[in-house]
Amino acid sequence: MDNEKDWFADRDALLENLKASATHWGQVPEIPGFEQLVEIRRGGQGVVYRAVQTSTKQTVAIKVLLDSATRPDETEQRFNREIELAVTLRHPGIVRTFDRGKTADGRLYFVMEFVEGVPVDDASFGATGEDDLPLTQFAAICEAVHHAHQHGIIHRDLKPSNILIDEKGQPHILDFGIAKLTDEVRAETHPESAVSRTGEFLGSLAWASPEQIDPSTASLDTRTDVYSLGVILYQLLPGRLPHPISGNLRRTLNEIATAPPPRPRSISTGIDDDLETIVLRCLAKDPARRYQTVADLERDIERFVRGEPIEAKRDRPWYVLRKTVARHKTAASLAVLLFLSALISAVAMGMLYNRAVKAEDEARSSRDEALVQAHKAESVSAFLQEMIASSDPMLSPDPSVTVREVLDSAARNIDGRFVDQPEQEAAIRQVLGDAYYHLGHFELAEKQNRRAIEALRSVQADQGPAIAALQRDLAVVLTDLRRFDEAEATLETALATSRERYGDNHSRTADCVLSLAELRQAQFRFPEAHDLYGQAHDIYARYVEADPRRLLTALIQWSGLLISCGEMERGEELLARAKEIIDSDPERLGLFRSGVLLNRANARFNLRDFEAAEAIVTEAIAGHEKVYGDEHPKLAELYNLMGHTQREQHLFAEAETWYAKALAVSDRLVGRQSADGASCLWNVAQARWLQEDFDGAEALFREAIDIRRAVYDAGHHMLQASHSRLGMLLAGAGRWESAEEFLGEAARTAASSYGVDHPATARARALWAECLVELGRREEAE
Amino acid sequence: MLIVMENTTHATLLARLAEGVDPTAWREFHERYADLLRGFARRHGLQPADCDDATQEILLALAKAVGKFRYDPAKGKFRSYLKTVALRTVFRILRQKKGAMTLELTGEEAETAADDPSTESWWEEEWRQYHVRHAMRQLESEFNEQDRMAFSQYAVKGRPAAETAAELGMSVDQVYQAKSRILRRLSALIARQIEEEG
Repeated sequence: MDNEKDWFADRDALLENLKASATHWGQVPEIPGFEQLVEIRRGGQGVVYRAVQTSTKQTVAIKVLLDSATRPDETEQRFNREIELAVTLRHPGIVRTFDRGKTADGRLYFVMEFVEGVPVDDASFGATGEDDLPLTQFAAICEAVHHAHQHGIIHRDLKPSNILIDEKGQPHILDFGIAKLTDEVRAETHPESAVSRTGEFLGSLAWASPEQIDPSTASLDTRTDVYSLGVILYQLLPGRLPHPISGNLRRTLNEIATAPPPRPRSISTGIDDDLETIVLRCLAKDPARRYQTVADLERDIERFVRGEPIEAKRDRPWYVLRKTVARHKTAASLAVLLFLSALISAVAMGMLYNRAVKAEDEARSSRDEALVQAHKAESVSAFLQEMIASSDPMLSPDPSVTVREVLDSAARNIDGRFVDQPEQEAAIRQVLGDAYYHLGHFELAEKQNRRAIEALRSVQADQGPAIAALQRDLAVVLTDLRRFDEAEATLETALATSRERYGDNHSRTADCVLSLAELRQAQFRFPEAHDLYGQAHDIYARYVEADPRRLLTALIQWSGLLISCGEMERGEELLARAKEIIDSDPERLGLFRSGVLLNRANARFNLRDFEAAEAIVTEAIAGHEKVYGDEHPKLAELYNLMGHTQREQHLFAEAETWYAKALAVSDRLVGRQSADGASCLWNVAQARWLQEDFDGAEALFREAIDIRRAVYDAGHHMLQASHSRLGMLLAGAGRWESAEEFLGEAARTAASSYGVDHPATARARALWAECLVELGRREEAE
Repeated sequence: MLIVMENTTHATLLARLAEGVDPTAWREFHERYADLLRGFARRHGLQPADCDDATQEILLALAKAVGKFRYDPAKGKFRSYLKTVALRTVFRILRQKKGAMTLELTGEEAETAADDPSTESWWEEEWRQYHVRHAMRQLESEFNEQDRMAFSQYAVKGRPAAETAAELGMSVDQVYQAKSRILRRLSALIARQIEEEG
């Protein structure tokens, strides 16, 4: 230490040590109104005394802050504010704060409930014979922390020494909302006492979240407490810290910031798989990957104790499937259950909770906001769970209930239920809109999206980022509805809002840019789409550490465009980059693998290298089945591509088998009467046709087209395309009568959806005309 | 100025301990370093009772070492020698408790901890406070009570000089002087203590 030699020669430094020494082992302070002070605990921040309040004879604990006698005014004001907030917390698991004040010699103190107990780091926690007791205690700790979060108070310094266990085994959390404050008071009062602050900091380092040790992090939120709870849980399991605090400080900091903790099961084999999943989820470096609220963590712990499936694994549908089968022993409408579960974790967790519960801010208004957000997230989640329950095979007698029906009934249920809660309504409608969108029910999706925007507008008069996000979703739906002008206008508004609010280089702005790229691609404006994908990619690339998923999405979509434009080499380059990113964190990013493989297979397929394409698809299918079992929408896509590779190698019977498998998946997941059902059926029909079973094939084609007519609006490009493709097939086989029927329909819909002058319309008309000529109806052809 | 030196310098104290027959030396030694060691042990997460055990053990180990090897200042600073003994003891106690749920430093991690900046900063803080306390005890015989009270109220507790002066029946100037003289003396005493330590 530089000043080791002369600290005693510097008067201020000497006085500093004198004060610390005096408070450290010195006399009991005088606190008016309290008597019989006895020191019970001592930490770097202050000394805790047991005392008796003179007026009431009540025993209390008083914490006197070290070094707080001389302090800036604003420090004291902030101390007072924080204490006043802490006073409002009333929960059996939180040590109550009663009051605050100044000692006779001017140091700040606050008065707490006196709890007789020992800190968790003393051997009492988990040392009993009952297996579940520590977990039950842990769940009780979570419940208390969540209670505080709901009041907008974050602990920021959760660690075993801040949790007391009383003789009944009940936990009591100390210093809620105050822990870090006391540190800061000390720092502000004595900015020069770097040594003591370093010591304090290191005392909490093991439980500090990655964002806490990153000086560039502007604000912390409740997920910081989730991380610290994860460290405590980790200590319970293999009995050590995830990142041991020893040796080189820089290395330790680096480990906390970047190194994944060792899997508890790699340290001690007796640990349950689910428990490991829970603890690792808490310890995710990226707050967005953790439990988004402590309540979620608590629920999972409780689920685990009861032997139920844990939420942390819900984003792996096969897991839910397995657990649910084990519980219900019936597979009636598991597909529905599965789909909704996946939807809820993907959509609800990702989209809603991301925006919720940001409580760390000085201003009261943001605490209120946090409160609103917390309630919002909870009621949305409750509603969705109710929705799932309605499709539970145990509760619903009808095994044929489809996802669509569940969504419809949910949509009906929203009306009138959230009259005074427009934000909740918006959030739920957004989820429903997204669900409909993924099922291909674009108009229903549009309706939900629009109503979500309306609901939000009723409370937010001006255009804000939340509305912009909804508008972006709407624009995506409109793009699929081929209502390009509307999509573009909506997207431009959303983009302008994002730019204004976040700047050009923010990932939210990139989200809009990406959607615009998709719109341009759909409009066949490929060069523009290409540039936009590039822009989105460049922005996401900056945040690749924090959120590699967005970059992966951009890479995969961009490569898709390049491949469909024939630029295989560049497409494959992007895919190689995507693969690198996935391989750097396969646990988290493995879900993207099938997208990469699918595009790679497409590239090979387009190059007519069918054997390579087949090999890649085989790999993709194997990986996918391993992760999801045989129940996943993506699997249908892979089976279909496999069918294509077989078909192109003239293995038509094999192709039909694969197409039939795809159809079966689709039937199970979304039912035959759907866009996906029709596409799969179409492929089967085509394979049948190639095996020259023309009658059988035509019947299937017609069934597929009937479904498409029911699913899509008249004039939808899919409808138009299938009419013309079937017409051409029939014409090629000399079945002119049937061909004319479909080609005529195609030409009419092309004219109405693309306009009379569009090349697609001209081509459709030419085909129709050719057909009419064959039928000898020359005049009509003219 | 009266300076109480007697046999209480660091070097003579160690020498007396090495003889192994002087019970006062043991008590003095304990008085001198117990708070330092207890504080250091506490910072490593030991419970109060364990801190007391640790303190006893460290002092015992030190006394034995001094007897055996005739602690040689040329081999290194007493300060770091004591730190090493203290760390070893603290970690051994932590290791013993590892069967239950222990935290922080255990097992092989202990060995690397001596170079840990947190350990060093804790040690440094405790070490400084030990010197301050020790020097303050010395001061008690060098300054009158009024001066010491003035110093304590004004310089340490931060009360206004005028208030302190009024309460103690001194002039404000005298309060300032008391602070200045005591600080200067304290500084000199600590300088000498550290020098003696080797």
